[in-house]
Amino acid sequence: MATDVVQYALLGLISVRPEGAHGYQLKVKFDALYGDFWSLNYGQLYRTLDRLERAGLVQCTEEVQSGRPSRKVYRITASGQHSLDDWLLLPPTDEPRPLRDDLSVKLLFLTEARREETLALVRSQRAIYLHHLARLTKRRTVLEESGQDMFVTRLLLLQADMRVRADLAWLDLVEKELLQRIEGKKAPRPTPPKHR
Amino acid sequence: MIRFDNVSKVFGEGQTRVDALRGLSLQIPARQFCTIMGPSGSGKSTVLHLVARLTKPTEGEIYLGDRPLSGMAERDAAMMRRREIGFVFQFFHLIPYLSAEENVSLPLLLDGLSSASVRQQTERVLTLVDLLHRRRHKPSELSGGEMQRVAIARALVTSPRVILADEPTGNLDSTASHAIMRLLRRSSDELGVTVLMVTHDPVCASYGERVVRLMDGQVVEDIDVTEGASEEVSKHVAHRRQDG
Ligand SMILES: Nc1ncnc2c1ncn2[C@@H]1O[C@H](COP(=O)(O)OP(=O)(O)O)[C@@H](O)[C@H]1O
Ligand SMILES: [Mg+2]
Repeated sequence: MATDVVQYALLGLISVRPEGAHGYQLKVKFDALYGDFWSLNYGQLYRTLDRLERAGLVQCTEEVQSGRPSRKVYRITASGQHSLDDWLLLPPTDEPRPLRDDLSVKLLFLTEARREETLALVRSQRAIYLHHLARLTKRRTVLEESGQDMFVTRLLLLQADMRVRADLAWLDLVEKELLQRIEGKKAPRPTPPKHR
Repeated sequence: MIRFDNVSKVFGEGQTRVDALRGLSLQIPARQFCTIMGPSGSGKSTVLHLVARLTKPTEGEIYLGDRPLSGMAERDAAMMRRREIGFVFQFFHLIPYLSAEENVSLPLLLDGLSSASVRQQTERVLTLVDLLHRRRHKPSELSGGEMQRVAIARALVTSPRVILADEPTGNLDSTASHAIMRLLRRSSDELGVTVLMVTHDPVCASYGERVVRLMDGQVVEDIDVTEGASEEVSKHVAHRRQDG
């Protein structure tokens, strides 16, 4: 996960605990949510928390515990909340690569009240992917028409195709599930008959 | 130009009523290569059928050029389909007992052209799809990609203004698909044909300049995929953020 995504993932986790969160709790929560996909060690965790504190996005207080060493408790600041809100609504990524990291963290903290914005986010991401594909397609066409030997380039282009295709298929699914959540308790539409 | 003006299409009634299209408005300029995407049942094929006047809208109007289609007499509609529209389908729809050449020339024979010009036009489009050397083969002797190229030749032989393609690569592998897409791209670029294509494959969609996404019979996205359009998207998003 890119540094700034980790940063916002932690900021998001802190934001949902107005009573404050300490490092160990954050690590446990992060692992529960993302452990299967990303590992975050304590070094990274505390470095990131330090960075958030220095940027004024979280506030850290010492909590004294009887019979045990005191521990640091983190709370989100107004400016931290602002920064989180801003980031959540930024298009996930201009470069199609780290989409999963980025979008999944955003989806986690975009609340029900922002469903339209969430849907718009998924859709703008789809448009970015299609542009990327269109560029690849142009390159392929130019290369093929130039008659050069493009053994490796062709394989790389194919890989790029497959990746973008998979990402777009995933976006379709994200959209579908989002719409289902939005429609929620409304009577489900009858499923259309099989494709004709 | 193709224009949909607030078009609704309902199939059946009562319990079996299906709203295939709900107030669809869409303008496709001449020569554009436009792709329609969307889940199964979202109304994609219905859009193509309406353009060809194979079915009529329940509400609204469709224009081809400046002609409204719903009032057109059946005979005129059939003539329009034959002369101005080329079809490409997922399952090729070639006549199995005719050769590639005979399949391609069929629309011209139906139109009563002289045999000299039939031969000339047929050769022209078979050359375009690079299948002149297989002209005497029957569909069963051709690969899927070749059959689809024959179908494209047949669609182009009347020099139509519009090509309607319904999942033309649905049964092809990726190499054959690219060949088909390049042909459709060239039809639009070099022959000035308006291409309206339904596809599930984003890679195929990326050959066009526009992607319209349908859901439940409505347009939910209309994406310009040409160069420079990326900045438009970012601008749009930035703008939306400022709004609140
Ligand atoms: N001739 C028809 N009679 C009844 N229902 C139809 C007919 N054609 C299409 N439909 C219905 O209209 C909806 C849209 O169909 P269609 O345009 O074929 O969708 P798509 O091509 O996007 O899969 C579907 O629910 C389909 O079942
Ligand atoms: Mg269909």
